[in-house]
Amino acid sequence: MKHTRLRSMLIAGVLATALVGTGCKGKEKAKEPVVQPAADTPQQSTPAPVEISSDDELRNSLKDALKDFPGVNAEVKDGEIILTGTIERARLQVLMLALNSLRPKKITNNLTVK
Amino acid sequence: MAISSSVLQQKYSELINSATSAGVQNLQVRDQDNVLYIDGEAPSGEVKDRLWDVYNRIDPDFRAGDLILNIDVSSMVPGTTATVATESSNLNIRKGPGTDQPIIGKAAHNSEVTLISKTNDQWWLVRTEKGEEGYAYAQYLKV
Repeated sequence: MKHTRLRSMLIAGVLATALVGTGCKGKEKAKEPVVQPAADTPQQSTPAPVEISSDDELRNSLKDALKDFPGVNAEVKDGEIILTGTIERARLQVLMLALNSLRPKKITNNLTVK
Repeated sequence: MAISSSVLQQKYSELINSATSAGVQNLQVRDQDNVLYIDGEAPSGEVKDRLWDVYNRIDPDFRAGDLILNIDVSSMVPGTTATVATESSNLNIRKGPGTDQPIIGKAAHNSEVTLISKTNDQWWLVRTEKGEEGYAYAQYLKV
């Protein structure tokens, strides 16, 4: 019996410490500006829809992007850029990098890569 | 981290993980109509190039048409100096932001220009070493 009472006192003590501990943490946190959502909030539950440029915007910016790629042709349809023609493999990544920043819906690469 | 990741997120997981570990800020990974959109701001041009190398390794020659990777470089801010990263030719400096605008100067390959202000994702107003001010195509500017 003595042992049990001792044990329960010990548990009570541990619990009390734990409670005080969390209490302090709570206060510290409250001082900081709340920037991030609570941990139990599901993240990215409703992500903002992806911004897609209009076909006119895409056609307009493609003029600039393709200026240094004379062998490449591009068609725009419903936000999609469709590439045809030929390109050297060493230049393909440079081209794709430029086209990916134009906010298209999709890029279909039908280029012949030399 | 994500509770469930899509088929495309799994396909490009190495790219997403590389972006996270390389310190890409405001990283957004979104699935929409069978295309994965990854947006973010890389701390440097090298990090951006490395991510593109990973993309090209996962999808050789970018044939799949299932990813739009739009990575900005956060160190490209007004006041900083950028290197002209053309293949070999001079970079045209234009009167306005567009290739239909008249050429008012040239910046030599590998020379340095000062970034003045960003017009959009494609064009920057810059100042050359000779003091000429005009618009340059962003793709050829590296920081």
